Amino acid sequence: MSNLSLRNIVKRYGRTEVVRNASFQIAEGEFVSLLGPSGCGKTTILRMVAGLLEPTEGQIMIGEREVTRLPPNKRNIGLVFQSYALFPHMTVFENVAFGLRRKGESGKPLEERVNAALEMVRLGGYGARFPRQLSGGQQQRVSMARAIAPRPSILLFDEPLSNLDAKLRDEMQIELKRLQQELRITTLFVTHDQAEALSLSDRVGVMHGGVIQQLDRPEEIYHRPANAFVASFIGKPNRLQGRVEAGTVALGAGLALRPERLDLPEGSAAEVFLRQEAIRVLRAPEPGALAGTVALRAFSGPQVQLVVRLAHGAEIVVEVPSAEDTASLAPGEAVYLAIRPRDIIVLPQGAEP
Amino acid sequence: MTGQRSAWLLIAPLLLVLLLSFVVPLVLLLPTSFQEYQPGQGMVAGSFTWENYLRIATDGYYREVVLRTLALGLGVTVLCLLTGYPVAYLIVRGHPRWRLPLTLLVIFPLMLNLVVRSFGWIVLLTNRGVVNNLLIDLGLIERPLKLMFNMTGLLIGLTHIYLPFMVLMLVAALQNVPRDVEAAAATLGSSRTHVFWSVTLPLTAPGIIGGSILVFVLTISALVTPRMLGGPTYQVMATLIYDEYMQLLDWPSGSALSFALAASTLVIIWISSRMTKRWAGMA
Repeated sequence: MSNLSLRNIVKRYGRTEVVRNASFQIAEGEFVSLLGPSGCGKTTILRMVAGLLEPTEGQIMIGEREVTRLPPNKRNIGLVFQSYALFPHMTVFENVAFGLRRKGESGKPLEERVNAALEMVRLGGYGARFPRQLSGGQQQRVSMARAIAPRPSILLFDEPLSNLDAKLRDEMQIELKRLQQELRITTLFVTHDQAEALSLSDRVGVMHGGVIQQLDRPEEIYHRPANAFVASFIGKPNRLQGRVEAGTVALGAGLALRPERLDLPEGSAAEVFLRQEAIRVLRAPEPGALAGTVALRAFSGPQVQLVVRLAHGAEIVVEVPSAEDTASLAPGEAVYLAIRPRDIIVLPQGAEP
Repeated sequence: MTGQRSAWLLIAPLLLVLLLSFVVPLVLLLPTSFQEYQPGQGMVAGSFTWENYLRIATDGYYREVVLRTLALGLGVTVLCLLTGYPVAYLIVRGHPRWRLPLTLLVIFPLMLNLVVRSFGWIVLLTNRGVVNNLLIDLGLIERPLKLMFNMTGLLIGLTHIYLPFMVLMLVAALQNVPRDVEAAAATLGSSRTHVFWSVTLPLTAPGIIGGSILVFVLTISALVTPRMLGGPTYQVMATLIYDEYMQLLDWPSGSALSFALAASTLVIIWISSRMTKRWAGMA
């Protein structure tokens, strides 16, 4: 186990920069996710750490060792692929034993460590089977066992849960969390699924256009997005335009929001991000609540989504648990939206996408 | 049920052609192979004998031809595999710019007539041929090497002719090897060489076996090239069968040889498909 640090990493293909000057550190035992839409460069970073791609510029260090130009087999890493990438011609046991054998392990100790790794992913007794005889979730667990068995200093995950169906994905997420807590291996996790990134990681790096936009604790990312991209990418935000006036953001038609923090100068154009799940829907007015009318209602089981048209014409989407009284609001009815000051995210307008 | 019926309908045309042009003649040939042959008179009507088959195993000359044919098949297969694998690997894994020229280069010989290609080899390989003249002129040898009318000539000629089949099979197999699986092996501490031997090669086993069966079967049944490069005296089974039928008019003997050839082919295909399953761990 050791820390991982990237220094000014750049990856160019011809003239296109896929990764622009990425620098960050993962402390020993820390779990860091790179989150972003496809094509944002997150997988490229992971593959450079694994040694499957060579950075155009910059340095990669594992512990005190520079590994920037080392081949993958000299880096002591474990990589879990989206496609599982199990060896189809080997049994589960041989798959997991592969890395251990490369380290010169054999005989009884080898057997014990393979079985321990399989036990850890709750696949004890599956050793004699072939990958094709297992379900997708089981195959992914084998590939995790295979990656952790040789005790790598860095563990890398490349969208490991994306090929699984939704239900299995939730189960595997819990499994992963448990595994991470038991092993405490330095981990870099790449995903486009924000729930996955937020729930698993100690820190999340949100990427866009080859640049790490914000690298911080999940709570910070969620509540204090550094820029408009992060604010609009995380959660299900509503975006409103306004102007800073006397400690509030005026939206027009007499509507104003009073955020907890407001770092923008008086009179500047601002963009307000309100998360669907952070908005309370009321039937009666309350000080500070925004008035509007229901324009649309959509029932989706546990939640009801309401599209509310505000007095000045902008529309806001809100989520109401379907057990709530307000879930029965019909189009045309008047509603009031209350937002806690700390859930009002204000950023300067037009800075980012 | 409809599914099954339409499946039968779909393969019916091919089945019919095979039945009429392959199975029926084969069945008609079977009795012939058990008939006695009197030189000068032809087949003895109503006779039955195992002699034609026994002779293949007991007669020294026949046995030599059979073993030579099998050795030739094995040799050409191994040579095609050893020379073809690197080419296929380069086509699949090399720079994409080289893919088309290399593939064309591999396929090109197939566009030339078999007789022309064999003649080409004669020009190169005879005692006063290009290769021998060159070697003598360079002072590397004093007397011409014997490159024709023996195993060397047949190995060279047939390897050249059947190499494309092997390469094309291997290209298909290599394209099916997922890069992630190789990358996984590398991250687990495998050097490039070890990745090749432990992952790439076993995963291309179906292509290796498929290509080998194809080349082997084509080689042991080849007629034109062995006849041209082997001459009238250096016989393989195919040329021997041809002579039995066309020169000696000994149909029973020719038929028996044909059946022996077909049977050994089937046995070899069966064994090798068993081997693939065991080796590649795939059912």
